[in-house]
This record gives sequence, C-alpha cells and structure tokens, in this order.
Amino acid sequence: MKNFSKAKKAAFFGLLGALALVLSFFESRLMPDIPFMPPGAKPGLSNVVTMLTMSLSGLSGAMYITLLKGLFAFVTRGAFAGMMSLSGGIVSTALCFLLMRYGGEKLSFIGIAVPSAAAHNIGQLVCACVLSGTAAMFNYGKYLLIFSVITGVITGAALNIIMPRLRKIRYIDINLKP
Amino acid sequence: MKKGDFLSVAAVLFLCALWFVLTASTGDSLVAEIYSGGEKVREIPISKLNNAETFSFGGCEITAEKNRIYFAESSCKDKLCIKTGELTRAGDVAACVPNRVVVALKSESKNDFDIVTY
Repeated sequence: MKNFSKAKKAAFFGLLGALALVLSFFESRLMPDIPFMPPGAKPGLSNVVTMLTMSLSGLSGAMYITLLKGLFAFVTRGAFAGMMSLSGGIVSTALCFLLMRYGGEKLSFIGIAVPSAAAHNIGQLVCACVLSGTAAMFNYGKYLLIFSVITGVITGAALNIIMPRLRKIRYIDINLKP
Repeated sequence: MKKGDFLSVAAVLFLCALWFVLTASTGDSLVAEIYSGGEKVREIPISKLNNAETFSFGGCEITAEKNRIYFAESSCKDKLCIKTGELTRAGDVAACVPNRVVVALKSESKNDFDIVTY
C-alpha cells in the first residue's frame, strides 16, 4: 500500500472499515445464537477484515480497524460492549501481528486465525472478569477455546480463499508483509 | 493449509484439553457460589436443596433447585445470563456481566482427605 496516494489510502481504509462494521453489526444484532455453543459466542466474521488489513498494510492499519470496531460497539451498544470489543480485539490483533511476522512462511491464515480467535476470547473473558469484579467466570474459557478453534478455522479458510484472489487485482497492487 | 497450521491448532486444542483436565470435578456434592459486585454474597449447597429457592441480586433473579441453578430473570439487555441455562456440573459458570452478577458451581468432597497413604 506504499504506492497509494493519501486520498486512495483514505478511501481504501474507509471501505475496509465499513466492511468490518457491517459484519460486526450483522453478528451482534441479526445473527441467531448458534446451537450447542456458548451463549453470546459469535464467529467473528469482522476479524476477516482485520486480518485482511493486517496482511495488506500491517499492524497500524489492523489496529485502526480494531479501534473503529470498538468505537462502533461503544456508540451503538454502550460502554460495556465497547470495552468487550476492544479488550478482545487488541489482544487478538497483537497476537495476529506476531504470528504473521514470525510465522508467516510456515502458517496459512488458518494457523494464524485460530490462536488469534483464542486470544480474542481469552482477552474478552479477562475483561469480563475485571468488569464483574470476580474471577469465578474464568473457567468459562475452556468452552470458549473449543469455540475459537471452530471460528478460527472458518475465518482462516475464508482468508485462504480470498487473499490470493485479492492480490491478483491490479488496483490492490501490493504485496506487503507486516 | 501449511504444515505449521496443524501445530498452531494443536497448541490451542492442547491448552483447552489441559484446562478441562485441570478443572475436572472430583467431589460429589455441588455448591453454588453467587457473586455480586465482586463479592461472594451467597453459598448454596444445591445438592441438599429440596425446595426451589429464588435469590435476588443486582437486578438478577437466580433460581436454585436440587442439583441445578440458573438465572431466571435479569434486567440486562442481552440476557446472556439466562440463555446460559442451567448449571448442573462443577465448573459451570453463568454470568451477567452488565449487572456484575456471577454464579459458579464447585464441587465439595464430603471428606477432605480422599486418599491418605503412608
């Protein structure tokens, strides 16, 4: 994305940001609960956008998406939702960055998405423990870990399909590693 | 898919399995703990309950029956605490984070010493 002009960059991040917000809104408001899964657990479709941005433009771009998602949750669903979104988002984006930088050659997006999803869930759980003032619910984490394997495989597989095609598009003529 | 993916997924699964093993219940009598605002406010030996009891804390109503406990009512928006359903096994947790109410089940052995060897 180095060859992008300022305006082009703003437009591109605007598109990515909008995409992330639509996906997280869809998940938080419209999607029914998934049977047999922990209540409140969501597949994290908007993290597809975070990882896509990470692989296109690096850590700062991905953090921008993460913060935007947190702000959106804060404005539309309140302070509690905002904090939950940010706590999970920042931890998982950071781990995602480390995995891409140091394991990028050995890992496909599935291998990156699964630990990132796990970090997202655990970060959120820690935040929930802090907000509720008790560590009693930390045990819930074991169920969230199983769930993060499933969601990580789904979002990772989506990226494995999307990214090679996206890189072929001339407009996004970039091949930047974070 | 690349080779490293298996390692990465296996690491998460291992952590998960370890968590399950470490928190597996051993005792035979269930005790429910209710936390509100960060303080433990009630401890209920639900294995010994014969009649259903309802407790009210921080905008939540919690119903305890023999060997089960659940959020019956809550003033929160998303009602995840109610959707969690009944807690029946040690280690089960239900929480209403907006109201800062948490219910956790733990097991208590009748005897503190299960095995003593010399």
